[in-house]
Amino acid sequence: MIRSALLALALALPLAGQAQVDASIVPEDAPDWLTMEDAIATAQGEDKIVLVYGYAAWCGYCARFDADVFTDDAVQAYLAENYAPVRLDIEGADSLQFFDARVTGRELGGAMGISGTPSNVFVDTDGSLITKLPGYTDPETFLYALQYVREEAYETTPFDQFIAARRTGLSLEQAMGDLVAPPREETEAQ
Amino acid sequence: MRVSYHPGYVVPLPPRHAFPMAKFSALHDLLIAEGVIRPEGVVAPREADWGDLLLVHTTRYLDALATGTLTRQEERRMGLPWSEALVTRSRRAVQGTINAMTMALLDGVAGNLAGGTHHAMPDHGEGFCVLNDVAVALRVLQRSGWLRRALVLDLDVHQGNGTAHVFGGDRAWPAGGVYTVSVHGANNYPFRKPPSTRDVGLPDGTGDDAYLATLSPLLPEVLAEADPDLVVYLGGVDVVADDRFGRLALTRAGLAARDRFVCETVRDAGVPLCLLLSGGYAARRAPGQAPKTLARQTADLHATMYRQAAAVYGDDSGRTNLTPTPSTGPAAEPRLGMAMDGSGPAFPLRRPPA
Ligand SMILES: [Zn+2]
Repeated sequence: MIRSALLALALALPLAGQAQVDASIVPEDAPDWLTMEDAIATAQGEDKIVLVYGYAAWCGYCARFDADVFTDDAVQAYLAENYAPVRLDIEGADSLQFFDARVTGRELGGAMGISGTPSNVFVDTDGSLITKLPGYTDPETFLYALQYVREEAYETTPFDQFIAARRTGLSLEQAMGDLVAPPREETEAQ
Repeated sequence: MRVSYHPGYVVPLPPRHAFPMAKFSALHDLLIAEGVIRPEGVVAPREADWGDLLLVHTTRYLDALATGTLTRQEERRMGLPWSEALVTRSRRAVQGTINAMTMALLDGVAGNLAGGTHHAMPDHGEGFCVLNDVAVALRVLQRSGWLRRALVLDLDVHQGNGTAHVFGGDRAWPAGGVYTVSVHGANNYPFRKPPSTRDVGLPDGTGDDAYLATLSPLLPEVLAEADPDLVVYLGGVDVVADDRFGRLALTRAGLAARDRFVCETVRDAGVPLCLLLSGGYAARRAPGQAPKTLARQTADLHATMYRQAAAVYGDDSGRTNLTPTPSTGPAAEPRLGMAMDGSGPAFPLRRPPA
């Protein structure tokens, strides 16, 4: 998938001596990216979270994020069930509808506090920001982040402990218990 | 044709909410203007009794609705922000369906200019559905002796998971007397689909011909199998190509042909027919277009079913013998507003762990 995307990129730029990154090209095996307005509507109607993927066309790590992470089967399956994903060109000049506001990609990226790319912003159905995940992550970590936000585990658990629990297959309580309280001796049978 | 409608079917939502709330009043105005229904044929329902709702919904859920104590997750799952007005509206729509089913049994055909909220579960709301009017109304009518067996024909593009769940015990037909049929987009919401008596999942992009080729043999077959006292038709218009949520590709002509076929087949079988709206989220909005336009477009699609019913059944059914009641006062303000805050820590933002 990665290779074919890069190949397509190379074929698309036959005259360029050095292939340039163009993160605005979406790999074929991509999630169902929605428009902002459709994403908000879908999130409201289908109990999903709006995932705003902030990218810039020249951003090499964005192209990698597209190729490595968004093509991952587990990521795609989890996204399909739980998220309404939108690509946001944070330098975009086209206007889009974000709830009451008619804004450009650049304006919205700024309002969301996206200072670097790639950046993933989690938005609730009422327009409030849930959280942000800046930078590149591997597919596994990204999947955990998707689960972390969806399960609202941030209410109780730091992200690193959440990941540790998922990796070891322990329950959150067990993982937290290991870190919070030493194992207690068995109390007398009652 | 008599229909249930009340101005209180429309309650305020936050600006730009995906649910086209104004479609209910727009549909009423359109059908009156076209002469499909007459003012004296409009029966305004009061709110359904809590006791009736208890035939389907749990005490815990109804209590949370009444007191405004749904959790944030519950509210989000419902897809609509809680308000007292929303609860009143939802109870009114349930009574509208109870009345419409009763009028259908009396007149041969009748409808509710709302209802078909088929995603609502006993213990929670989801997918813009607060209360399951179909399930409550059928249980009310069964209990009161108005009917024994019913066929729920759910052609909304989304599977009728709430209704299927409630009547799940009826899978061993005819145990509980409600035969549920759902023809829907296989890849569409809801992700988990509890089995109806008959489920038909269609692939994305299904057009008029394939859709009607599926429905034509199916409807006579389930009518024969269910032998119902009443057909409850959820004529969701989210099957059309440019629906925001639909994924299917019916044309307006295809939609009209579908509704025509249902009305004719059910009439010819000699079974009373109750029409319910269910879903419809018309076309995409062009930049700068007002949300009202979208609601009017949706209402125009919903009107198809009533136009077809009026053509098939004629104008004789349902002379007035009930009068509309006046509307209630202004509804409460929506509870949720929009909050945008780009500041704060990177991850997580909402509530850092203690
Ligand atoms: Zn629907």
